[in-house]
Amino acid sequence: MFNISRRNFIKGAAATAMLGSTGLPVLAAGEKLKVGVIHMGAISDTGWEYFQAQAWRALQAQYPDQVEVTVLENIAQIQDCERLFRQLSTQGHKLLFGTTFSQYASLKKLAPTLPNSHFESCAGIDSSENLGVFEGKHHEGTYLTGIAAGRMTKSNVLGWVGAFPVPQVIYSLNAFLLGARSVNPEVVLKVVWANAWVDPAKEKDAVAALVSQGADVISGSPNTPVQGLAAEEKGIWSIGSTGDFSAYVKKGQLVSFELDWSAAHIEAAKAVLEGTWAPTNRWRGLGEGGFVKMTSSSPDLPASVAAEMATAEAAIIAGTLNPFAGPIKDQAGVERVAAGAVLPDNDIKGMTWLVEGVQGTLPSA
Amino acid sequence: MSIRFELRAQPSRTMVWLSPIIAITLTCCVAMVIFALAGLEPVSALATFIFSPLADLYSVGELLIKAAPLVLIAVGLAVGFRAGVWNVGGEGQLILGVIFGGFIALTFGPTGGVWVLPVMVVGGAIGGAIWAGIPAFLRTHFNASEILTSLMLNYVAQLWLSYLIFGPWRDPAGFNFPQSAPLAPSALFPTLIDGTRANASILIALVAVGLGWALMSKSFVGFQLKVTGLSEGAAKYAGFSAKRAVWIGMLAGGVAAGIAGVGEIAGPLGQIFPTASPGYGYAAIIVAFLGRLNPIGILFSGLLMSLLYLSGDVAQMSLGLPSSITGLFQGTLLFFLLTADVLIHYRLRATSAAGAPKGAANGL
Repeated sequence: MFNISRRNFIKGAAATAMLGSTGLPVLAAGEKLKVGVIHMGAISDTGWEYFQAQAWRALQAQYPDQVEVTVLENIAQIQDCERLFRQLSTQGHKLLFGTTFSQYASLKKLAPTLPNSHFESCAGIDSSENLGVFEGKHHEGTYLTGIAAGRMTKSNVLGWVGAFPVPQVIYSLNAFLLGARSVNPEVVLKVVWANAWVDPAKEKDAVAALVSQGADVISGSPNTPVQGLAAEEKGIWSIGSTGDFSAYVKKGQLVSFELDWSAAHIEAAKAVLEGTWAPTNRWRGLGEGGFVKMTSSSPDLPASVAAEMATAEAAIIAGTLNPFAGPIKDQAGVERVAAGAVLPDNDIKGMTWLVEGVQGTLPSA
Repeated sequence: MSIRFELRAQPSRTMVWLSPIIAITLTCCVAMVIFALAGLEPVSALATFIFSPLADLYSVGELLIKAAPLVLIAVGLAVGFRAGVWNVGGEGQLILGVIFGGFIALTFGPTGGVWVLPVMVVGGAIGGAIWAGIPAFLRTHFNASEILTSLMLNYVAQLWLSYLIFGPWRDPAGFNFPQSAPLAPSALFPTLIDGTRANASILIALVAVGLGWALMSKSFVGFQLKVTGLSEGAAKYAGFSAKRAVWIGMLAGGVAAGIAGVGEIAGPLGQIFPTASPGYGYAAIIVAFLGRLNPIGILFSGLLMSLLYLSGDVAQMSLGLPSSITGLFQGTLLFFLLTADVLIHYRLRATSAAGAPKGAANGL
């Protein structure tokens, strides 16, 4: 069994750096690269699974003659995903994509026993010999949407519907408030947990609770248009966080950003085709080849705010602006990041604390 | 000429066993029609659908570990069904097995020795029995329908499991994802065949088939249960306790489902998720009826049901059909089975359209 810990994470990262390009299998000349993808849920029109699907669709479009993609969806049981990855591998799929952190443990177990395949896990802890991981810097997107929220709020109260208190969600909502406070220091952020990635009823209740507490701009982590629709009904703004819901939320969606894994899929396939694949731990945000893309913005968004967001975006891409640059205090007022310092990547990836100004707690374990 | 149903003097023993075969054959026909409509060559697609999950040793192992919990639970439920005790709470009882077994695994697994796994199995059995005991108690004391109470308790069990995984049992190193820490090796079933996931829990299912057969076919208790199921009045007259039948019927299902729950976390899962049960508690009801409530029949129907699950994945992987095909075929199979079961009690008789059929004069 493996053990996920910070120490192992660092060990794995170091080992990866040393290994470099290892003697992994190479395709025969003229052989088509078979790629396998396993979705936990159904591919829909928007949300997490949709972005995963967009990635392999982009891969197919990029290499129509060299790559063949086998897609399995609705594999909700972890018991099944291990078997199916193994079957795909023994059927000659040389590149396999996991689409969620829940599959990572299975991939970790499987990868050493299937040396003929390259594995790529979307979300995961560390890479190993034939297992790479990739994840998006969601916080770069939420920081920018936070700027819009901070400018548009009248009550100076923002709301966040949390899916699960995983670091990915925690650093997203922290950066959302930091972005808002960068333009409006008076802002506070109220958090309500839905304890589900998708649960329309709970999401709707959460929005109602946030509105009754004075929030007038809502963002959140479940990947559905429900929060946006509920907010629109209440006459307040919502933000498409990891999903552009403007097709559903026709008036109330202020700005949105999406996750774009195309680069992860295309780069991995290219490397396998060229025989240069090596395990990597890719964590990317905005910019060319990045995993986070700003998408729509409402016509009601003032040009000055849009310009402010664009400036910040350019600064993040250029590396001159880091959403987690100090000074940052946590909820208890303890300084977590000193002035002039930035929070190291691994501390962001494992974040378990909320920044000052967030009102709400993490559901305790 | 018309066809009508005529009541048989006695239920047909041949049809009892022929009806599943008719149902399977008809399901295959429907499958071929669906394949043809999807633009596939029906016969070869059906062959892929049925045989590719059995292509190698690993796949056979997968078939067995999926069939094992289905067979185990179905045998347990069949004991109750025969006595007219409708335990539809297998799912909840399985989850209680996960909770009790999981508690032992998480508490003692990291430090404990070889005794951990047997204790988990016993714990799971107790958990399932407690959960099945509640509807049994309500039925025997308040005459509450066990169908409703056992079904409702499924949801309660699911919420308890969610609470534990989202709360106290969440893996501290799991980045707050709703899953427990991986179970220690001492809390896992040993693998039976190298290179597969087939583990010792399969043996438990086989033992259950043997025990179930002995109980139902060879023991006096089995006879009493059967009489109670056929006619409660007759059972009462013979001095057989209906309450006792309820308790035995419910607890057999609970114990079996609880152990099956342990088999999932200590087997293919190796970790506890809020979604630990893939719905085996419900699927086992179909398995029990498909197997004619007979342990040997259940062994075969469990394998068939397991094959259907695996074929559904094949349908996606090799045939390009959506995964919902599994549910479609399971439903079709049950539909044809229930339809074909009519022939156990009735026979088809062709009569000539001209003039009144002779049978009608006899007043059916």
